[in-house]
Amino acid sequence: MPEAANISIDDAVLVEQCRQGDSAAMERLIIKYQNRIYNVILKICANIDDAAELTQETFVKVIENIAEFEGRSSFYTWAFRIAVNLTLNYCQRSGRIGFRSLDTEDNEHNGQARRQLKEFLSDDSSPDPAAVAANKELCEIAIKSLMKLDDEQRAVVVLRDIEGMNYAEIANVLGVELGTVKSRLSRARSNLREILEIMLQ
Amino acid sequence: MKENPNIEAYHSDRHIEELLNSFVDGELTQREQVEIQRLISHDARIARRLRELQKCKMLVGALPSTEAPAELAEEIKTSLQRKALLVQPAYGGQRLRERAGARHLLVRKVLAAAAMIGLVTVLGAVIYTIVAPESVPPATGFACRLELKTGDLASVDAVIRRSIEDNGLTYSSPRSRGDERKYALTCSQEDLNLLLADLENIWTGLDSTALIVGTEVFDTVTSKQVAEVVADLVTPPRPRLTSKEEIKEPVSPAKDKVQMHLTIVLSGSE
Repeated sequence: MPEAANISIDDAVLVEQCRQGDSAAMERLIIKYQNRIYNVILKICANIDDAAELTQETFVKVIENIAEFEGRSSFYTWAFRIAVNLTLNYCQRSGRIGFRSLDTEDNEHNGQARRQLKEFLSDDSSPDPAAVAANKELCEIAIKSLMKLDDEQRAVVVLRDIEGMNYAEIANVLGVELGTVKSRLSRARSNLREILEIMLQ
Repeated sequence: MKENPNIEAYHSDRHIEELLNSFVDGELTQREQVEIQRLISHDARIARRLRELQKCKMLVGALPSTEAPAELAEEIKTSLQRKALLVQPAYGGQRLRERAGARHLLVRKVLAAAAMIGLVTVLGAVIYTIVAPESVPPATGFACRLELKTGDLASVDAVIRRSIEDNGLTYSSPRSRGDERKYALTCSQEDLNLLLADLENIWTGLDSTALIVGTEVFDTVTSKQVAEVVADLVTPPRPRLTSKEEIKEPVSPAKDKVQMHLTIVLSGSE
C-alpha cells in the first residue's frame, strides 16, 4: 500500500471511481489524506489514541457519504470539514480540551528550552523555526500553549499554520464567513502570543 | 508611541491586527499590501507587532508533523468492511425474519379463524337445538287416525280408494285384514281437505266415526269436523296481547307445507 500514496491521481477521478465501488480508489484516497487529516486532528484534540480513532471515523464517514459529495467544494476541503467537525464535536462532548488556566505545572520545562523559546519570540532575534522544531521540549511548550486556546481558535490556527489552508478553504471547512476566519485567526494568534509569554515567565 | 484608549481606536487596532495577520498569511490584495508596508515603515509598534505575528505563525508551523499510525488505512478498510457486513446481512436477515414472522402470523390467523368458525358452528348447533324447536315447529309430525265403520265395506272402500286416486295421492295398505282396510296417506292439509270433501258422501253409509289424534279421541265426527279439528291442531294458538307493542306473527310453517300423516281405517262387513 505505501507505494500507492505516491500515485498522483486527480481527486475527482478517485472520487468517481470510489463512488462506483472501486476499492483501490478508496484506498488511494485514504492513503493520500490520512497523514494530513490525522495530523490536523491530533493538533486539535491533542491525544494520539483519540486522533487515530477520529481519523478512522472521518474516513469511514467520507466513504459512506461519498455518493452525496456534490463537488461544490474540493474533495480535500469536504474531507477536512468532516474531520474538523467530528473533532470539534468530540472536544465539546468530552470537555477534555478547552481554555485551561495557566498553572505552575506547565512551567516545569527546563530553563534552556524556555530561554530558547524566549529568544525566538523576542523582537531582536532572527526567526529560526528549524531550531524550534528540533527541540522536543520547546515543541512541547508550543503545543501546550496551543492547547490552551479554545477549540475554535485552535482549529483555525491549525488549519492555517499547520495544514496551510487559505482563508477561503478554512471558511469552507469550518462553515463560517471569511470575515469570521480573519477575526478568529487574529484573536487566536494574539491569545497564543500572550499564553506563550506567560508560560515563559 | 501613543496608546489608543477609546473604542474607535480599539476597533482600528483590531482592524489593523486583522490586516497584519492577513499580510502574514499572504491574503491581502496588492493595494492592501502596499498600504500595510507603508504603515510598517512609519509605525514601529505596528512593525513590532507584525514580527510577533510572523514568529507565532512560524512557531506553530514548525511543530513537527505526526504521521498517522501505520495500520490506520487497514483499520479503516476493516471498519468499512465490518460495517458493510453488519448492514447488508442485518438488513437481509431482518427481511427474512419479517417474512418468517409474516408467515407465522398468517398461519396463526388462519388457525384462529378456523377455531372461531368451529366454535361458532358448535354454538350455532347448540342454540338451534335449544331455540329452533320452540320457534319453528317441525314441518312434519302431525299424525291422526280416522276410524270408520260401515255395513257396506266394499262400496265404501271403493269410494275411498277412488277419491284418494282422484286427488293424486298415494297410499299404502299396511296389515289389511278381510274385514278391515287401511290407507296410510301423507299429504298436505289442503290435499286432506279436498279428500275429506270428496268423502263427505260416504258419511251417510257409515255406522260410526272416530278421529284419534295422539291420545285424544273425537267420536262421531263428520268430514267437516275432521277438517276443522285438524286445522285447529295444526295452527298454533295466537299469542295474547299483553301490551301495546306490536306482536309479530309467530314463526310457523305454512299450513299447506305441513305434512299430514293420515291413516284411514275402514272396518265392517261386506
